[in-house]
Amino acid sequence: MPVEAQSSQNSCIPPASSVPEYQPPGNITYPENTTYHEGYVLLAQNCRKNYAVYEAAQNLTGVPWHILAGIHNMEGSCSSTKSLVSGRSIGALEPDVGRNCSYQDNGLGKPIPMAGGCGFRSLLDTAVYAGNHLKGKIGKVPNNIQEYAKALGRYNGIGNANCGRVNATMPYCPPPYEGYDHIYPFSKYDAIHEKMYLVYCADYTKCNPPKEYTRAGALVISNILSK
Amino acid sequence: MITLHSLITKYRTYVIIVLLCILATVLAAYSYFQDQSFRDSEKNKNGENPNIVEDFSPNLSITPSLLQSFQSINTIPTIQIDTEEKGLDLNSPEIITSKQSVASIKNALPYNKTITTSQGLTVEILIPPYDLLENEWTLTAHIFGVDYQVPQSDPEYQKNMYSFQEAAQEVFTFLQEHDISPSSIIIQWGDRAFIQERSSEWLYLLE
Repeated sequence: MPVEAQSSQNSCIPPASSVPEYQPPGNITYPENTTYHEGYVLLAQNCRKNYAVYEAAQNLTGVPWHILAGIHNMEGSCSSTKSLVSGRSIGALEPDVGRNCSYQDNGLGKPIPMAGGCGFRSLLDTAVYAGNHLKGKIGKVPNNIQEYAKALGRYNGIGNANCGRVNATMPYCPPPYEGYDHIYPFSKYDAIHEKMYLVYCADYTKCNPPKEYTRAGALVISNILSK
Repeated sequence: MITLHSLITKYRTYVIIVLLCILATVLAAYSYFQDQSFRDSEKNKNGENPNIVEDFSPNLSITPSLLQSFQSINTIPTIQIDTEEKGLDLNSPEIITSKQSVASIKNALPYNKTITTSQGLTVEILIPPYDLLENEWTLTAHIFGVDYQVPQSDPEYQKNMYSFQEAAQEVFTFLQEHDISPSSIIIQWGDRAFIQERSSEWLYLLE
């Protein structure tokens, strides 16, 4: 059972204080002396429970563990039973994968067939799949904050980029680079991104009037965890 | 011997030809200026907003027969063992052919091209490197810069649809350049479910 396998992995996870600092590749830098709301810090700390899984996926994909944690927080609130791909329960059908899987190709990070489509066996499989997908969005492991912003925005879908889509005053418009105006990487990241907006309230339905997005973006969680 | 009468007849013929040419030129110019005037009036109605894109179809060579020849993951044979779903049959001819096609362009990947579409939208087409593809039999073609969630009633809907279609055309051209027919490769347009759904919808709207 995937969830049980996950539990046994979690028992090996070191306490937060002993998690080694990981130096991400390239020159990804976060603002210095950033202090985040305590609630966001708690969210980030909650993700540390899956550290062993994120680290294993980092070793397999090259995507830093704290970026994977940021994605997992966005998708599944870092729940050990929720997928990094869509936040759905591990073992449930993944609509993004559709029918594109086979028992003849079921290695680590690969979706597996199940009644009605495809899903994943374990949190680690979803983390590896997510890491590879993030790379696929720009064709390589992101190497700096601009590339992470672009890859993460694309991971979510660019429909949630704010500039030109939301009728409000936004200090981050026009965006200096792709993803800078996207809630998925940057919501609550710094003072400029304190107030961002959800563009689509449902599939093919724009929020009207604009709806403020209240969650912290993936780079916030990553920033906190990388310290 | 050239008579005066024949000279006059010949001259008259030249005059008629010249007059016809002048008439044709005047008509062509009139037609052009009428069209220009109509476009200008439409722009004025739109308050000269540079964001408003004229509604015209993209220049595409995707044909219905080409679209019908598409390989779709939904038509690939699957395996069931003891009524248990085992997914795609990787030994099926469709998968084997697609694997060969994808492998044949391995060295041409990643494919990355940014275009400005006829709708004024800048879109980036990315087919990731071979090792970052979903699997060995699927060619994932990302078209970024298009809003796939745009409601059908939104004024930006056609702009996004046409831009996607033009970018998809670039992918087909890339495949044609490598002697790959759409019927011999499984293309996945994006990787989110809503992107794949919208992409299929927009491709089939061309029919």
